[in-house]
Amino acid sequence: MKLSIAKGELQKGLARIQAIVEKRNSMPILANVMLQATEGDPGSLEISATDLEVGIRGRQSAEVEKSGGLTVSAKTLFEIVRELPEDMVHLESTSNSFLSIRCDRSQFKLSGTSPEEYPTLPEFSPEHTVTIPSEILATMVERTMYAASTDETRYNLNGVYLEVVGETNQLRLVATDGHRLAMVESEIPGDLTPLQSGVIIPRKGLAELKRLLDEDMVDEIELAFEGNSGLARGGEVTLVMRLIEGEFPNYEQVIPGESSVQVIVDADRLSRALRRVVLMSSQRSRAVKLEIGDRKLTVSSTNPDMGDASDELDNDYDGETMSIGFNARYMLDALAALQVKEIRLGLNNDLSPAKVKPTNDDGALAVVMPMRL
Amino acid sequence: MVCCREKVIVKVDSEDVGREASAQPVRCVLHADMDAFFASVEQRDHPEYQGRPLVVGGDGPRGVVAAASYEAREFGIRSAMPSFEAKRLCRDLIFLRGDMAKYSQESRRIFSVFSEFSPLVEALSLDEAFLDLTGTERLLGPPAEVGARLRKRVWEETHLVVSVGIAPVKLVAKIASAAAKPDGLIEVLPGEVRDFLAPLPVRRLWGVGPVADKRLRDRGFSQIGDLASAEPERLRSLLGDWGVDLARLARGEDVRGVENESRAISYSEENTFRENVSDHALLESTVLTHAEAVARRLRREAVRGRTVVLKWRGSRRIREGPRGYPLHTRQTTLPQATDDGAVIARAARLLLAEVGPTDAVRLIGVGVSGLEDETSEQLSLFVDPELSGREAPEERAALNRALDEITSRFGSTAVVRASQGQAERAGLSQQVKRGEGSEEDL
Repeated sequence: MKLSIAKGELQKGLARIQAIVEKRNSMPILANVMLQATEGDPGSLEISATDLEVGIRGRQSAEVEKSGGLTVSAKTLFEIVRELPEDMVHLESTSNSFLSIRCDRSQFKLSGTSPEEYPTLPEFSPEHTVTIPSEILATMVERTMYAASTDETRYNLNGVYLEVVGETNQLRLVATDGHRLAMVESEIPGDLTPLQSGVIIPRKGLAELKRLLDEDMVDEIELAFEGNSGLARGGEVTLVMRLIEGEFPNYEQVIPGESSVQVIVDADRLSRALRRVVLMSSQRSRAVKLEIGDRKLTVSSTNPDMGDASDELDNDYDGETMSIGFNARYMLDALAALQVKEIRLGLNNDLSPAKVKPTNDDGALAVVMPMRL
Repeated sequence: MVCCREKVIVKVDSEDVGREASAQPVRCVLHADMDAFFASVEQRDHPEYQGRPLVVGGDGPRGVVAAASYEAREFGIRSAMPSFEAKRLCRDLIFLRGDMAKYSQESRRIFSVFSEFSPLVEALSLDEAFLDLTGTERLLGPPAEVGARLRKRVWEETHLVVSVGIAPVKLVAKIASAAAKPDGLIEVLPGEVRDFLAPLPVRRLWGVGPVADKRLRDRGFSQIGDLASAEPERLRSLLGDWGVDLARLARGEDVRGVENESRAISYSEENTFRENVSDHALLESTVLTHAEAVARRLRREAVRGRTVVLKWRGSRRIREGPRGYPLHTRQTTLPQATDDGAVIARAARLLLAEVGPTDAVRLIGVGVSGLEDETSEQLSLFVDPELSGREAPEERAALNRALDEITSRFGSTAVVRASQGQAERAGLSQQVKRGEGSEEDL
């Protein structure tokens, strides 16, 4: 392998794979990045890495003199490249799988391994893919990902459920950790028929997908799912991942329908009130009380070890007073993820789920289960 | 048994108060300790046992004596002695397995009497506590009189006898109550502390076990007084920094105050089997029994726990002594804190099946830690379909309340789950671990 590549181009390709290289030492080679150069006009350098669950392959343009490849420590190479001057970087594999790195007057020799030792990315080339505008999917991921469970014993909740509903152009994402749920729906220009059955995308794969969606040059993303594999392709980058095998719970049944009490509140003001009042709640439960009635919404907390706090917001509701407890964290997460100015809070009683919906009905909603205080 | 014998009050002239005086205000600590608690409860409830040697403990080859009546002690029977040895010492010994629920109930009555005398009660076990009487003299009267009244009140409430030690420091109060037994009271005044301690064997000091005892006696420190007057450097070379602390204790300088019960950090129950068990079904049913018992205690204390711990001792000895069998623990964290025996049992059974013992075990137990106050409970969106019985959480809570009611009235074996067999158990023990890391056996 022998090639020349712009420093910025190389750094971008290496930055992309940093999050998935294995930090734990279960298989030392998973700490490496695979470099593979292909001659041509223009030539290319393929930079890829996998942790066996998720794999990323990106292609950067390069002047390739001689095809070939090797693997080297992903972290070390990235750190070296970051420190290099803005110039062309010359990479060459030498005997015994060393990588020689030259740039201006700097020179490095980094030990590596031959490419055959590197585990292959989950190989997956689906026949049909669907194309989704990156911006729409990125927003949908942001609005749901927070609610996925981090509890490994509930592996079927450790990701975001993706399915097509109603007409064939309505995409839905759902996530829940058993205490709260986030759901968002968007109309996608184009046909979603190839995404027939729902799949659960693991948190780590989703984080990588989000990173890919946020890349400058990626306006559209191609998605495909087959068996327990998922693929996302955008620009010169391909992401492959193993999906979560398991059944996503019947989430529709826990989303409340009509609520007997509905209050409209300013999302930002409610967030500020929650953030202030939660300072006085117990670190463990973060329990706060919401009281609604008398044309105001009162957020309060009491902690026998510390003291108490309350904050008020005006609203139009003057029906029967009700009070309900919540983990402030769950409410704050939901308000932040909805990314809207005003929400409608729907409640039935102090032991049933609360529904949080933007007043502009933009397809997103959050459900938060209360705390018994 | 007679209620209050004439009170025994040790009075020593306090000519050298100056030597004792220190910068701290003088505290007044009362240590109350029930006399032969479990055994006395049984003798009270069974008049036919009164005046007869009686032991509460595990029978079977591995059982130990939990409590011995004073009549049994005359035969040389002591608590923690193997049961077979106790039986060998006394042919006519009455041997009872004991009723933990009854003793806990009795304990609550006793502690409610204790709380009449001080707002600061530090429980050491079911039948033993420190009470801080510092500054109560004006309100309650002289400490020795308070102690006598406390003994009288406990008798009135429970018809059980408590012995009392009163001293300016905890260590001395505890030693004094032991010396006052049976059915007595000893007060050690601030000026008498050193003279009171001096003639006692060093083993009476906290932290001096058989090994340290032997080392100390080999070097000529057989009485506490020998330690009190020893050169600190000599003790340091002999026992390290601990030696210096020990000398401080020996001089009666125990700086620890009485503390209200620190928060429990875990609850557990375990049992030693009569014979080693490798049968999985039997282990499973034992685990289920422990899980239910721990859950009942969580509900009684109004806490829930997130971490379930399975604990066992292998049957192959790796060291000498009763603790020489290897101890293993495995734990798992639940998505949500619980006080439901079925949920705890499910987690414990999973641990048993997946990472549990592969060989015969001598002891098995279940514990719950990661405790949260029950007051605020995060409710769940989904009704966990794996919950046995498939009841909704609300219905389970109601069921548990009903079960608790029955158990408190008729004992823990009144209602058992169908899959909950009664394992042959030698010694059953319950533990609470508290904030300071001390483990109490109940």
